[in-house]
Amino acid sequence: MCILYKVLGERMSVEFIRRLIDEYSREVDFVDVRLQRNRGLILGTENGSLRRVQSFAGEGLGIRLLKDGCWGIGSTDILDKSSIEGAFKRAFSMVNVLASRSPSKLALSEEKIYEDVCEYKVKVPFENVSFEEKKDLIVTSDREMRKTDARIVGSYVNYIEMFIEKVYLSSEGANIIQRIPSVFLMFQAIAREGVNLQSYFDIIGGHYGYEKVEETDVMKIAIDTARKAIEMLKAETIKGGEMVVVMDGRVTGTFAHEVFGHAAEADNVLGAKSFLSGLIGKKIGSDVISIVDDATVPNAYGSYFYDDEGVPAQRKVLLDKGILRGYLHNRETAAKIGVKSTGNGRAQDYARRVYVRMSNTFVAPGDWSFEEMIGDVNYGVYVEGVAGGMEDPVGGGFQVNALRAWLIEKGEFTKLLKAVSISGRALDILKNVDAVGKELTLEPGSCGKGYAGDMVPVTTGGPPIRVRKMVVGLAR
Amino acid sequence: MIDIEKYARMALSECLKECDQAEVLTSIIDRRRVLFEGSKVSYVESSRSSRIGVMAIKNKRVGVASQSSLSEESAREAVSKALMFMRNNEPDPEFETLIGPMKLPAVKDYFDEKLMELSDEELIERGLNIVKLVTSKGGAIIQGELEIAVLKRYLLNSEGVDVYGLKTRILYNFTLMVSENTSASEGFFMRGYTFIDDAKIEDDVEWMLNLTRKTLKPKKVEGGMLDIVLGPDAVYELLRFVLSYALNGDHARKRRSPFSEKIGSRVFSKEITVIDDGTIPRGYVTFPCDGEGYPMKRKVVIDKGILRTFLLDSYTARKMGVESTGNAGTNRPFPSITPTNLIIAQGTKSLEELIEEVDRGLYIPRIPPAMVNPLTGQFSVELRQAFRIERGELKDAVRWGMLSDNIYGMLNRVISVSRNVSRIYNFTIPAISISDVKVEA
Repeated sequence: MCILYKVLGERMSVEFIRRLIDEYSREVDFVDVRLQRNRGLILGTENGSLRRVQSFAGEGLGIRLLKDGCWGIGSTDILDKSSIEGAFKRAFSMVNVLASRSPSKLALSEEKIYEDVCEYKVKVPFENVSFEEKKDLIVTSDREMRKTDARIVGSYVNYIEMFIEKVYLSSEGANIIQRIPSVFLMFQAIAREGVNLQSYFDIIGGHYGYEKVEETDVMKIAIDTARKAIEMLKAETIKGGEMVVVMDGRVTGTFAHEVFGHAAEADNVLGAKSFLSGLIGKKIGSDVISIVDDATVPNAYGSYFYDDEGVPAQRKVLLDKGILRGYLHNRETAAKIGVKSTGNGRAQDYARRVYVRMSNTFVAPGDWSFEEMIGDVNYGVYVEGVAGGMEDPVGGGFQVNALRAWLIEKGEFTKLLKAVSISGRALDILKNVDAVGKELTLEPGSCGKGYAGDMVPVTTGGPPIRVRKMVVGLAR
Repeated sequence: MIDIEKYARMALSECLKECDQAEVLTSIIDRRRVLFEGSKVSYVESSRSSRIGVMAIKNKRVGVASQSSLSEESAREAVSKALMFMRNNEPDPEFETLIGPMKLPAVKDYFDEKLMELSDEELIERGLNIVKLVTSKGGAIIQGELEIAVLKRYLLNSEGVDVYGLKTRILYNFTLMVSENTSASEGFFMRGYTFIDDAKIEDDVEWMLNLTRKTLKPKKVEGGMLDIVLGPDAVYELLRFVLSYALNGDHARKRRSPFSEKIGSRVFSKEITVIDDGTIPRGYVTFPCDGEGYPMKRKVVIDKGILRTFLLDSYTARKMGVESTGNAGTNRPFPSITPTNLIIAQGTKSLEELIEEVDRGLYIPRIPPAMVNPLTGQFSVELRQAFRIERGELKDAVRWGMLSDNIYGMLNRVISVSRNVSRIYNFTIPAISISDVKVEA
């Protein structure tokens, strides 16, 4: 039973919404409706005590009307007849204003229309685990962090559980229900010695029930997080410059997502804001590197069954052994190029626009062991974890601030380094990758696409990779 | 129309049947947005969203719940969950009490009737005119947003705080591109105001187009320890998160702020004065009271480089034995501290004079979003729009390097501060010149 339909059914029939879709589809070229219902719980600790206990909940409906190549979007978070009718009217009124002044030739690709109900199978539903058990887990793990060393001045553990139900209806007859659970545990430790403050964090999660927490060695992650923060108090600095860089899976993933992935989004390509424009079929990377966007990875945070235009989730090999094979599409960009959507039309929520977004984007694993990769390096750095990164699809620049880094000398880690960032041009980096590791890491996160975009859930990742030369910067 | 007062009162009264103290915040926000893509207005959006947040307290146990989709049903659900969490939570030994009603300052100009009356036609027309302007100047809009929003909120608590508020916003951001043959350059800016007449969108677009055109063919930057002049947009990117972190009284109390135990000590050069003022007319976050109903105030936070106060809510202020500074945010539970309008006091020189004072260095009008570590101040950020300065004169555009330094350290090496300032959201910022900054080529 669809909970949203039940919620609607108490106030009106879903047929009421379908009638409005039919009615407005006589006036415009296309109509779709996205309904969403969220329920969630956040528990947070600070310095060994439960600090935050909070639930969140909401529901809403968003309408897209396409008329003369213009989109009008209306939404409401009140699911009653008059609010829904009002949202349709507002979207219709606004799209008429825009279409009368600035019509365009925007169209949607032809896609198979689906009626489906999909859900992630949950082994341990959130409601089967008591509040006390969840609370005890995070309070205990926080206290374990604090016990690690007296220099830990800040310790935090956050537990988030969330259940989203989404319904997609369209004037073409689509009717798709998706039920998506998510769970996260986030750990942060702050260490202080005199005026020297350092921190470290870790995160696990994805589209799981509480079984993900039960299957994780939570105490080990907590203690490792604290130890790494403490270790950072001794981190040193070196002279920056061009050198060999080995990225861990999380940094590799940031490269795959921030630089390559954004440049492979077809709206960026069509908008002349991608350095990958015009390079399909060209060899742009070394033989050892392949990059994939895969919305079907089981339980990964960036996975889904259907995108927000009713197109099934897919696995796309974007870069195949250094050759650019394709771009990511929604129905709008697919129609412009004359291809099918890749199922990458996504929206932050029911109220926001649908545009080309990544899902789980990662470098495909290779066959190097980590020891082989490091053993070959005479002088370079190993960068671990991401404190921040920023895309530059136009110029193809890449920059990542690492959580921490190691100096590699003659095949060995010799110094822990602080405040390291790496940068370079994506096309140079792709050509300079000479080793790709075996172990795949996927890390959940959110993507904002550019400076002011909407947030969607994604994962980024990959195995460790080695780049023959990149610019390494060290902040003071 | 949703009655935010009715639901707030109902929720408070339901809550108080079981708890000692309670606070309820209801809000409704109406937004209209014009979205730009590929030098076109591609989307127009209209949305309404509403929310209720409930905090229930008994015997120092605090429970918090929030619901969007404000209705009687959702208000009751929020109350029920807040009470359930309150019963199950551990006591917060540091919690003492919610505040009572206080005399609020006569703050002027915190909402704009003209913005509220703007029609869909006028909003869309303005968007289309921006497209015309950009294309007529030979540029392109990669993506952009123009949004107007009207926020109504009602804050009630069991101790008598009872505040209705209306706030207006106009927000816009544009990523622009200029290309010539095989060269392309991208520029970005964002702004937000309370009053529509303060939004000089067309002037901002022209400024960024000019800057983007000038940086179309950059040379490779030469690294080293250089004197730099940061434009207001670059200063904003470097300070937007770290100042609020470092000045947060809760962080200071728990020794997580680099400014902990430094009241009365020098934290920045004497050229830097920082004021937090939630009362300035037309300010981005100007309002009579903060997020818990405490009067907004003007306070000099850093006076000629000397730290004078942290930003505090009443919870943290009590712990520190001082008065609140009126900086409570709306996140719950407490502590919840946020800056209001942050002003970096202007200097006496023009931007040109700041550049003239530099023998060898860079003028950096903007940088991409910088991930500055708020604990240490360390950052590395790519130079995308910068110019070489040689003997006080602007020379070539430069790129392909990184500014890798420490913002707390940099603000101890300030040479000069400009007299011209820009308002970027809740910041009022001058250009700042700084000596001896690390640039990696």
